[in-house]
Amino acid sequence: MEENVPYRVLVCALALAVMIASGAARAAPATTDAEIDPEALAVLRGLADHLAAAQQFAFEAETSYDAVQESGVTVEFGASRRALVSRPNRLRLEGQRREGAKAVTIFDGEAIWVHSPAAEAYATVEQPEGMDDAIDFAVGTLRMKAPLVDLISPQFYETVMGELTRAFYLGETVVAGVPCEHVLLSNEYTDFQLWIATGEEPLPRRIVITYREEPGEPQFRAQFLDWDMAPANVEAQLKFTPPDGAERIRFYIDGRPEDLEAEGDA
Amino acid sequence: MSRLHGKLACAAIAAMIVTLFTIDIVEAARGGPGGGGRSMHRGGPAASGSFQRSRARPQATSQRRDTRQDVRGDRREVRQDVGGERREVRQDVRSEAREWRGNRREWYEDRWRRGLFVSVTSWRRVGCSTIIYVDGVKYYECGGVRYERVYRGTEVVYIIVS
Repeated sequence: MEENVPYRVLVCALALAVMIASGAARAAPATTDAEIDPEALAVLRGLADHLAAAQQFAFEAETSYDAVQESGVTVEFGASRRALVSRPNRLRLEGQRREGAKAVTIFDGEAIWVHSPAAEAYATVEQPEGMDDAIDFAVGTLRMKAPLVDLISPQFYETVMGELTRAFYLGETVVAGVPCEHVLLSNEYTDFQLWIATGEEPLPRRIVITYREEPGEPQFRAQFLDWDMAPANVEAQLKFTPPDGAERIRFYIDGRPEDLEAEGDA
Repeated sequence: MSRLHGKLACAAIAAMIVTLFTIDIVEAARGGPGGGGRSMHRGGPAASGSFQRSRARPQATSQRRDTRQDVRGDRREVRQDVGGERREVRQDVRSEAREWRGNRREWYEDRWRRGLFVSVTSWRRVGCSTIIYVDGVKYYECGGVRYERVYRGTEVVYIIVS
């Protein structure tokens, strides 16, 4: 019987090792080397470097997204968009929704301006320093929808890499007549597909983002119509002068709620 | 008995008016029928066009950021004590301004969630043109309801403030 003791210890140790290993495998992130394709990262790097090196550029895109209703029905909405970027911290965003509403947003380096021609209104607020901080403020605090601004960030590559769980190179395809490389990138929240032009100007021609963790897995889609790496009249486009008749109103964060509550409001 | 019937009828009419008014506001909150069609919810994370959770779901992340800012604010205040009294006062004013902003955001977010706003498209149906000024701020007031015309993002809306 005593001869069996080392054997039993060995079996127990092996069983314990198997249990620990299986537990560790469950706890480890799903990502493996096989799921991070270096070819996909090289394509992404090419795009990120190309955009980060450009001091000024503009693009036009046709965008659409899914709005999942409470009933579960999915409805598509969309807009035509144009962006003009002047590094380090100036930006003009134009958007016209399919039903006609148009808005122009300008980050002039010192202030953020929004103008709605049809509503004859505009608002302005101090711009935080740095492009990423300014965009985070506009999106997080002012509740602006600013699709595609991820691309504008000088830290675009680092931001993608910081959250990356998968990266696949899906081969060469043609988008609207332009030869492209198709890559799929994932983080814990979204799947992010890019079709990036081959050749000396590796610019995106199409983007699809799938919000995998959201009910109904809605998508955002952008089809790029034009890229201009030497835009004209940049200074004029990044300066806002309130048009005659436009009324200055507040962003909803301005003012003090106490003032309103003091008037008998709940 | 007829007096009771009268009271019941009045209550029923009042309830109908309140219900219709609420439906109208909620419909407006959904963006109005814009273009004559059925109104639909137009929001959601996919409207952000961002692959980052923090930009697709800013509400959840802004709360985390506020907490982080509070911590940073506290740390800065301690440092300012060493620096001098005047700077400390300036810091207090900044913290207070940040607090107002946070409170107001929360206050409006609550109204937004409850659908207490009217889109530009639906504003014509409200037909309110009475303007009043309180502390230099312009409001529209009709039927005991006060609206403020504000920007939420890049969209002009009429928020019901009272």
